[in-house]
Amino acid sequence: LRIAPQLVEGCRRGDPEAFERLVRDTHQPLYTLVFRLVGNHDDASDVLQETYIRVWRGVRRFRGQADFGTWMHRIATNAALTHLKRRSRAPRPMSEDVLLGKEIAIDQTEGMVDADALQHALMRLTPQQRTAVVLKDVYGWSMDEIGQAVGMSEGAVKLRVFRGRRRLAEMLGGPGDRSSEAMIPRSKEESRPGKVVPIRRKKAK
Amino acid sequence: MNCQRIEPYLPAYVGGDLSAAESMRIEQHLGICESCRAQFASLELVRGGLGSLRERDVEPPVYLLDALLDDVRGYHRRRFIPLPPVPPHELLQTISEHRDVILSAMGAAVLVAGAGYAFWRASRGVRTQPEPAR
Repeated sequence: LRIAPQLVEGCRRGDPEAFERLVRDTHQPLYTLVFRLVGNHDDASDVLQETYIRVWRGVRRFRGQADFGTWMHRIATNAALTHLKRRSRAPRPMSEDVLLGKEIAIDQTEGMVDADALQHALMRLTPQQRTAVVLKDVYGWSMDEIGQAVGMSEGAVKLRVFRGRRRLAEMLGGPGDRSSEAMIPRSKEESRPGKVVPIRRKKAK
Repeated sequence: MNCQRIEPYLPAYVGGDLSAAESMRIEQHLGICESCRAQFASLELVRGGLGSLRERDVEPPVYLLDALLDDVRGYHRRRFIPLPPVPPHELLQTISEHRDVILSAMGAAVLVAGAGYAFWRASRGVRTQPEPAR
């Protein structure tokens, strides 16, 4: 997320047009991050609104101690974690249109995990594991950066990343690992708590 | 080295998060163990999938940008923004930033309350001084 220094300076001065421009330029990537963490559009929208309030309140104190884009990602991450904590229950499932009638699968020909299946599996991790895995493996942050962003030690972050990766692999399985069937609900009926079904694989062409 | 000792390291190994010496031990084991190779393949697949998510934007709802921009215009109209609960240190920071405005508002509130009280007393005909004895 690259943001022009002039734009940052305008926001720091309280220029309304600069802040509007910042919102236009950054809402898409921040929305993607937040959606990865909270897993549904309603919550992601709420979190993004809260994120910009926090950015607005904090931007005058921003002294360039970090890259501005990274700083905004941190704020969005913390807003998402606060949101999940406040709700203190399991995240709502992904939109049904993503899941209903969809073959959640690993395409063995392509050797790729289905992105929707992966997002759904991510939602079955704890919020801390999910945040650590997303920031590390999706956004490529270092363990140290993640620790600073979410207020955890580097060791605690590593633990969550490694456990998160293992759980995802167990859920999604993979070629040659038929023993670890993924537990992904595929329909509204099957999405009831406690009801899990093994993954279906696309046949290799 | 047996599988039970290797397996815990695989999630770190797949991300290149081990030292060179540790990585070498894992590689040697993977060369001879089909079961651990299968587990590693699953982890590699997951990690590859996570990496590819980076390239896939999630499309926000169509109304969201307008709602955000409305919010932003609201920030400028109101100096104080209605907020969800904020951490105490941020609350103190906000108070210190707006100290002058808060003190002015408190002073004005005290004056209004005092004037209101005086008016109420006057309207009820309460005398503050006893009448002199005749």
